[in-house]
This record gives sequence, structure tokens and C-alpha cells, in this order.
Amino acid sequence: MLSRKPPTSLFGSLIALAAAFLVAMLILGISGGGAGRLSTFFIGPFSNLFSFGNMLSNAGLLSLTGLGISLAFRSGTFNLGGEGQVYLGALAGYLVCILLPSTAGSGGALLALTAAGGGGLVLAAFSGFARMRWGTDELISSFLLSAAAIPLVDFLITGPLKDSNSYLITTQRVAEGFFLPRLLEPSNLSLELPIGILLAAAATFLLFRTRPGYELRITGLNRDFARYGGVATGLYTVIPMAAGGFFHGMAGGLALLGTHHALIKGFSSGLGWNGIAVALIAGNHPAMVVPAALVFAYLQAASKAAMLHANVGFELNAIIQAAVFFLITIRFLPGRGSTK
Amino acid sequence: MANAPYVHLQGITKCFPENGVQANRDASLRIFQGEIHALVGENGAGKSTLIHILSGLVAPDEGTIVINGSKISLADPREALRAGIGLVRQHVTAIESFSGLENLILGSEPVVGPGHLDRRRAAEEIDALMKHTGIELDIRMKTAHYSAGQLQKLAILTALFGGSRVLILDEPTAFLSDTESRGFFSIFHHLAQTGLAVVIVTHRIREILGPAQRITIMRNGRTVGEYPAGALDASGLASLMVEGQSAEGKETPSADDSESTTGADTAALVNGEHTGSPRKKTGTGNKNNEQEPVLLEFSGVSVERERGPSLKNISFRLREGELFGITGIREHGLELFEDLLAGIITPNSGTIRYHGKKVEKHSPRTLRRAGIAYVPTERIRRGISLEASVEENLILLSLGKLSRWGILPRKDTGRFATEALKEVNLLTDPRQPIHRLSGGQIQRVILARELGEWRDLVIISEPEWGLDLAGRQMMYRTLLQLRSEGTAVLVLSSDLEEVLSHADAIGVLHDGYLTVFPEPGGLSRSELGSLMLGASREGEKTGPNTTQEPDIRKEETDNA
Amino acid sequence: MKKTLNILLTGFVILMLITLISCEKEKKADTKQENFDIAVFVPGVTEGSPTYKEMVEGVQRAAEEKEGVSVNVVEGGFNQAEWPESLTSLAASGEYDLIVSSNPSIPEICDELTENHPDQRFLLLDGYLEGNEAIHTLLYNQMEQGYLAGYFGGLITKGDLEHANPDLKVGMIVGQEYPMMNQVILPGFKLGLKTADSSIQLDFRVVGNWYDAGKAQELAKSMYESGVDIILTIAGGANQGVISSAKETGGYVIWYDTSGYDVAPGVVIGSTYIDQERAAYERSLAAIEGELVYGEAEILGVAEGFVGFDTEHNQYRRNVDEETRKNIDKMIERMKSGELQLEIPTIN
Repeated sequence: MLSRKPPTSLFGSLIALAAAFLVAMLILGISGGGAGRLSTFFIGPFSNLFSFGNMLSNAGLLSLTGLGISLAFRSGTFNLGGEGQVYLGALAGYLVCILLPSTAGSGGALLALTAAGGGGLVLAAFSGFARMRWGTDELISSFLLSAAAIPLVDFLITGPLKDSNSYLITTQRVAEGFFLPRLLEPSNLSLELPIGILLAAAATFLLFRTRPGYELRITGLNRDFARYGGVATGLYTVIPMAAGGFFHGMAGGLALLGTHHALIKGFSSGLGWNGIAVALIAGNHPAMVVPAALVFAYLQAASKAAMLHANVGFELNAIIQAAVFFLITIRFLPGRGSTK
Repeated sequence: MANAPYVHLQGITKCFPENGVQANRDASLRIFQGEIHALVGENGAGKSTLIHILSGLVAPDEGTIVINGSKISLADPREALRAGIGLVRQHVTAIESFSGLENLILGSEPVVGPGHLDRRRAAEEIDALMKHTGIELDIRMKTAHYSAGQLQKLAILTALFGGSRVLILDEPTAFLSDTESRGFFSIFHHLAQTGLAVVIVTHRIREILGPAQRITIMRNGRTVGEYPAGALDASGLASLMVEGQSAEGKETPSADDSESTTGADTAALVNGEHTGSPRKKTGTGNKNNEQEPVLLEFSGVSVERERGPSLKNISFRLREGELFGITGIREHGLELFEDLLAGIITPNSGTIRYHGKKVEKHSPRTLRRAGIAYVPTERIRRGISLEASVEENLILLSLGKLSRWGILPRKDTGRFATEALKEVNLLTDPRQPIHRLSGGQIQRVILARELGEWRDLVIISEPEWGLDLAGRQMMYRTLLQLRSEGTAVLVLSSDLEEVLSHADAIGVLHDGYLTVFPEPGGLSRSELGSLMLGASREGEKTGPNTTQEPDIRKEETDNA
Repeated sequence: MKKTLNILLTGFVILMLITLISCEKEKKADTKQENFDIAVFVPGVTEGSPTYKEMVEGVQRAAEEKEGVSVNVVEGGFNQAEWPESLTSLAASGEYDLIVSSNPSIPEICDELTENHPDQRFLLLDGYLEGNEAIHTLLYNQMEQGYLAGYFGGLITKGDLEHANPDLKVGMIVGQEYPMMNQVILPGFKLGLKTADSSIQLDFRVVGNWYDAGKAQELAKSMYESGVDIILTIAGGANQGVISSAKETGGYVIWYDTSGYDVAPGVVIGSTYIDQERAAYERSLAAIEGELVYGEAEILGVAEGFVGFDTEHNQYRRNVDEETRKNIDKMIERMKSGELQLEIPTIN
């Protein structure tokens, strides 16, 4: 089995981000409109509470998916099924909400969130288990499972669960009692960011200060070494994948209960892939995931602002993300003079 | 040989800023075409740094490099390559999913038209090269399956394919068995005859004295001198390499002083200053202690394989305070035996007992839980994690001890690491990534981890590998010390001399069978060698005809 | 390496400062004039969607006639979940006097956000919402539109043009199902079919989105191969797939919201249209002049001239036989004169 060592250069991350900004500025500059557009790009996200809060909300969700990816990476496994895990998690959360009486309130919301995490966990854990038991490449199996889950959820949303009163492809709203509190009206910001920060802190502590964290890291750094040292490497294949899936699913649940309140077809698309970008920017270090998510969310919010207010095409967001993805995995060589 | 040297390094000085080590001081080197040149010195003498400078991988602080009459720019590996310098590193890296052929042509791919890879021509050229040099290698196989020796050959072929005129090999035989090493030396001889210069960097004096035509000795970063082969014998060479440490004292400014080893440095382990629980008892190291409890017992253990070597009906008993050496040919069973001991392979039949209790599920975990130390042959691949810190590499076996409620307190792990390092006389920052350390230092870390605490049983494979003279001395002193304290020591070694001189009993692995000799004193090196190849002799063969389990303490019996 | 990092960062910061300063000046300049700023929100992408294109063109035409009117076209992409946020953002910015959009699902989104942004005005085409004081909607009588298309399709499958087979089967492919589709367009189409001949069968398929041309192509192929000779396609960007299939298998296509004969001459032989461009133009102009009545929901059809069938195009005249054309002309007359009335049933 090939060993995959994720790149962890801080310098590399900064270069990729700087390049993304430069690309954005280039595009904005070329299509005319000059400095006004640039300022819309940079300041747009901060210009009103709505944009600002939405940016933070997005950052919170990205923190969760980024965290899920980082943990898996650290143990030497690669979770490529984030998209499906988020989507399926949201579905699981939604189902709990419609099954519970609306009086269940915040307890019900908690249950729904847990179920959402469980939805994602199931998908990812299976990949981890397959890797442990049969040596199946978890990168491929997680991706395939996710690719199968997405149409399934789509089918349910466009079919049996569809809200017949709406022109949008969406389910009905969940009961208001399950809505998560809004922290910064009129934006969507809810509990995503606080939860993301909490979990990132917990993950950092776990990874670097505890025995299971150590064993997880060593398994990722050199699986053979860990094995011959008596570490239960099989366990540390399944558990990080499962945890990653849980985080992804929970992100789906938070997006559902915090922002949209209904399952709109495709609402979560991008959270999985961008989670990978965030994890890479953060160098797969859980303590850096939240800052990385904030920067990435800022990039997205900036391009949204430009698209909405500065007459820039719809593709700007995608191009910027592409620039980040493209450059983030380049490893920058150390300076001369070092041999090891 | 030509009159002017093909390669001439002068006045090379290099200090590494990261750890303050003065690797080279005004060092020099002259290489002529058509010669086998040995660059010798202890670990840390500066040999590796010097050849890295020659290869353009490291920039020296001062000095010049002249190749074939022209001055070469420093720290430009491409220019060094163009000038014909081919470096074969100590740890050969290859792209595991590529075949040997694909790895070989990487960087000098023959193309037909825009970008079309001409594999056929490449294969033809390489086949011709192999015939010309006498090196045989299956280049169609994926390198993930290559042994250390094959990787070595691949690296040599790669250098030659790229057009090298000067082949530099860094410790080429460090991880090879005796027979393999001899094969390589005949290849080097052949290459030198075709006009190449072959530079061999090594600390194995015995090995190099015969083949080399000239020898450059380095010590403490300086070039001590250049000598024609006949001028020195083994002990003369050794003393030039090692001498001067007690006289010059600790003149090196570096904090880590572990490279210039003396008898004093082996003190810590030798004097039995272990951390952890106190030793059980002081054994006498006497051979006739049948009363001692049996720590490890194999009864009729077999490993059947479809392809490759297998193990048949292996039986032996290892008691406290015994040093049992098992020898054999690596590819013909010794490697398999090591994997079996380590718990990676489960036997098809037979039982394994630790402390008299049958082992149900044989795995590395059960090994470690039983407190068994294991120093693997693949020191780097299995013995450490290169990217982890020294500390992280040290604490792996002591997690239970160090963790409180699942948490590993930094203070405790730090203290543990520092103390463990002290025991092997490594005064270096345990928080740094271990790949910053030199090869010899890494070995010590492994030993510190595995042997730093009380172990009932120590399994160590190829103890000499990766160690220089002083390191080897330390190693054996440690093993003997452990034995005298009551630890059972199981040594796997493909190097005959090593095994003979220290063991209480010898086992010879051949054709899947283990033949045990409780009184090895009478065996000579060549006798052992022929035993490994299959000639029978008196001893206890645990083959298909024996019904009882041999005890390595029993008397010799004749069998057919 | 640290040096390069520092240089990069400082350069970056300086660049940001420059843009900040220069834009502050610009902003101040803007607010002095008397402007009417319009944002056109495209729920999807303009390119490839004639309805959206016409909306943009109509608004821009109105803007050009007046002084000081600016138009900002914003594309919202295909992720429906993002539309509420984008629209809210436009409303929240306070920059626009009017937001124009077109899509049956937009009114319900805007209805919600006017709660928090009561001062924002909306002109929403191709949608229906009554009673919100900030929103003016305009709905095309798609019952009539569907009816015309159905009548035409029925005549073709009955007739004997080159690709018309003896089977009386007509097809319809839509992007997604929604109330207007299921309760208005589809019934209208069926009614038109029945009027042409009572035994005509309808094959109705759903793509599931407004852009997957590949899938539409597969659906159309299976329909043509099962005996359908003409398909009405209402699938946005996926329409192209139906065209490809028609060319490949040999069949006809009815275009829906605009005249589509040039899209695939010989294949598209009938087009109903809505005069989105005129609606956008006239209503935007009214809004600019301050005469648009908000809170109102109009329904406009054939009689008002906003829904029709393109009978003028030479492709139509060339490809369709005279008898069919005469029948179509007669039908349109009846609808214009009010003789045939088709009311849109109450939509929930």
C-alpha cells in the first residue's frame, strides 16, 4: 500500500492563499471597473452583518469538515467521501426531526444533530473497516460510497419527501422548535462556529496530549513502526475515518438546523471538497483548521460579494477555489545547505 | 591510472548551522580513474558530508572542487551529474509502484518523438549495461518487492545509466549479508577495470582492505591522510581512524559528542544503569543453568508458504540469561524467521510459549505486552518513524507507564526521553525530528528505547548493521551485560563471525530447518558457513525425524 | 525564506491599502447623483437560457431610454439553496431601487425576505404572488401556451411530415416538476393534444434539473425510439440534449418560451413564446417612472399579446404543411378574440 504523507508546509499554505488572492485581483482588474471592484472584493464580506455573519457560519461548517479530513489524514487514511457524508448526515437529521414530535425542542435538535453525525459516520466507518479488514483503498471506497449516497438523497428530496407547495426542489421545513438559535441576525450564523472551535480545541488536545492521540499519529507517520511497537493500528484506521464521517455528518446537520431548515437539493455541495482544501491549508493540524476555515470562508465571501455587487461573472468563486486547490499541494523545497 | 586525479577536493570546510556541527574541516580528497578508492572513518568523521558536497547536494562554506581539470560550481547537483559524479546513497529510495526499469530511466528517459517513451530501447540499453558491468537485476519487477541488495544494484545501474564516471557508494554493504557483499565487490572491481572510479565510503575496515587500491582516512572532519593499499593493515587503519580522541579530548564545540565514542561512552549501558524496575537477579552467564526458567519456547513451529522459503518444525528453548545466536541466509529463511519472531507472521502449526504459557494470538501486540524487546533488521522502516521527534520515537513502548488517565503529560515524557538519551550518551534535543540525527545516533535511539528498560527477552536482528567500530563494541558489551543480568538474548545474524564469538548456543537455519548447537565453541567460521549451505554435521537437527524437543542445553547427539 | 515571506506580506498589505483608499473616493463620488439602480438576478446562468436573456435585454433597453439608470446583472448559479442568500444580500446592500428576476420559485423566496427588508422593491416575471406590498409579479398564461403547443404537436403527429409516424404519440420533457408545471402547463398541453385528436398519447419525462443535457438526450432518445415523433422540451440548459437526440434519431422538437427555429433548423418546427423581453421592458420602464403597482399579480396571455406562437419564421413556413399552419392560425384567432378562453386554475 502506498503511503500518503500530506504536505504540511506553512509557507506553502501562505503561498497558495496569496496566489488565490492575486488571481482574484487579476480577474477583477481585467474585467474593468478598477479599484471599486477590488474594494468590494476585499471589504464586501465585512460591509454588513449579513455577509459577515454568513461568512462566519460558512467558516464554522468548513471547520468541521476540515477537522474530519485532518484527523483521518493524521492516521494515514484519506477520506474522499465528504460530500456524501454531509448530505446523508443532513438527511438523517431531517428524518429524526420529522419523526419526533415538534415539542421535543432543543433535546430533539440535539438528537437530530447526533443522528446527522451518525449518518456521516456510517458511510466513513465502513470505508475504514474495509481498509482494515480487506486492505481496500479507503480513498476510493469512501468516494464511491459518497457518490452513491448523493443520488439517493436527491431521489428522496425530489420524490417522497418533496414539499409540494414549493417551486424549489426541497423538503418541507422542520418544526420551528428544532431551529438552532441565530447568533447574529440577520445572518445565518448559528452554532456552527462555536461548535467548530470547541471540537478543534478538543481534537488538538486529544491528538497531542493523550495516549490515543499519540498512537493515532504514530500510526499515520509509520504504520509498520506503530504495528511493531504494539499499537492497534487496525483500530486507528477505523476510528479516525469514523470520526471524520461524524464531523461531516454533523456539519450537514448544522447546516440543516441552523441555516436552511429544510433539505434543499444540493444545499451542501462543496462542503466536502472545500473541507479538504481547508485541511490542506491548515497543514492537517487541528489547531490551524479554524483559522484556515476562516480564511477560506473569507475568500468565498469576497468572491460572492464581487459577484453580487461588482458585476463579475459567476465563475469567479470556482476559479479562486481552483487556484487554492492547485497550489496548496505543492511542496516548497527547503533552502540549500540541508542534506537530511 | 592517470597521473592527474580525475576528482580533486581541497580545503573543504562545512559547519551545519542547524546543530552547530563542524562536519568538515579543511578536508581533501583525490580520486583517480580506474581505481577503487576507500573513504574510511568512524560515524561522524565527515565522510558523508564530503561526498554530499562533491555531489553538489550540500554547499561547503569554503573549498574547491575540480573534476577532470575544470572547476565545478558548488552546490549544483546538475553540474556534478554532468561532470560524471554518480552517488549511491545509504538508503536507496525508489518509487515503489514503478518497476526497476521505470525507476532507472527516471530523469534520462529515452524518447521517440514528442514525449513518447521508448521503453524497448531503454530495456535494450539497460540489458547491454547489465551485461557490460556484470550486474544482474530483474528490472521488470516493481521495486516495492526489491530487497536491500536489489535496491543497491538498482541505484548503481541508475548512476551508470546516467553516464557516471565516478561512482560513489555510501556504506554499500551496510545492510547486506556476507555473500551479497562479496558479490558487490566483484562488481566494483569489474567497473574499475572499465575505467570508472569507484569510491566506497565505509567504516568496515576488514571488508575494504582487500579490494581498495587507495584509502583516504577521515577523522573529526579532517582528512588524516591518503594511503596506498599495501601501506596499512587492519589495526593500523583502525587506530588511525579512532586514535586521537583521548589525546585531543573534547575539542569539538558541538553539544552532541556522541560521534567520537570511547570506552567511557559505553559505560552507561554497560554498567547496567537501567531505568524502570530493578533487574530480577544477577545470572552468572554460565552455560549450565538448566534450572533457569524457560522464557521462550518454540515447539514444532512451521510456516508454509506457496512461494519462497518456509520454516519447518522449528523447536528450541531459550532460558533466562542465555544468548542464543541464530544464523542463516537472509533470503532463505532468516528474514522469515525474524518476521515470525516479531509476530507479523502466524505459524501454520506448532506452539509458541512465553514464560511457559501458550500464545494464542501471535502478534506484535502480544510480543510487546510480554515485555519483549525487538530490534529489527529494517531499523529505519520498522524501528523508527522518521518524521516523528526523538521523544516520540522513544516513548512508544512505555505508553502505559507514562500515561495518566489517558493523557501523556509533557513533563513526564520529556523527562523520560532525556533520561533515555543519557543512557546512550546522546545529549541532543529530544523534541527535534529524528531524521536530523545521523545514522549512528538513530541506532542509539532505537537501542535506548528497546533496551533502556528491563526486558525479559531481547530479540535483536543483525546487531552490527549500521554501527561503526565503537558502536559495535558498545552493542556487544550491552548484550553481554544484559545476559549477565538474566535477560534472554536472541540474536539473528547473517554475519558468521559475530555470532560465533558471543553466543552461548548457535542455531543454523537451512532449508527451513533449524539445527541447534549447544556447544558452539568448537565450530569454525567456515564450518558454520558450510552448515548454512547444507552440509550436515553433528548437532541437533530438528527435522522430520526427531521426536523430542531439543533443549539447547542438552548434550550433543549424533543423528544421521 | 523568511525574507521572501515578509516581502510578500508587506506587498500584499500595501496593495490592499491602495485599493481601500482609492475606492473610498469612488464611493463618495457615486452618491452625489440621482440614480435608479436595478439589479437583475438570474437564477442560474444567462447563457443558454433564452428566458433569462430576454429579461436582461428588456431591462437594459428600458434603462438605456432613461437617464441615470444602471443595471447590474447577477448570476445566481444552479444551487437553489444559495438563491435566498444571494437575494437577501442584494436586498441587504440597500444599493438597488429595484430587483428584477424571473422564475416561479423566486416569489416565495422574496416574500420571506421582505420581512427584514421592507424597503426593497421587486419585479418578478414568470411567477405569481399576490398581496406583498413590495412585490409585483407577472405571470404568463401558460395554460394557453401549453395548449397551443399541444395543439400543434397533435396536428403534427396526426399529419404526415417526414418524421411523423402513424403512431399518435407526443412527448414532453421538463426540467423539474413544480405546481405551475403540473397544474397549468401540463394540463394545457394535454388539452391541446386532445383537441387535435382524442386518441393521442402523451409521454411525459422529468430530467431532474435545468442543465443536464446528457440525461435529456437519453430520455429523448428512448422516447423517439418508442414512437414519439415530436417533443415539447422545457428544460433550460438541458434542451440541447433533446435537440441532439432529435437530430440523431430523426424527430421534431417544439420550443417553448422563445422562437427556437434557428436553434436547430428542420428539427425545431414549432415555437410558442412569451414576450419576456417586452414584459421586462415595459414593466421596468414603469418602475423607473414610478408607475409600477406593487402588491399586484398580473396574468397575461395571448389576447394581451404576451403569449403566442411564432408563425412568421420562414423555417416554420418551409417545414410545416399548409393545412397545419392554417389550423394554428385559426386557433390563435379564436384565443385572441376571446372566443376560446383558458383560465389558470387557482394555484396553491
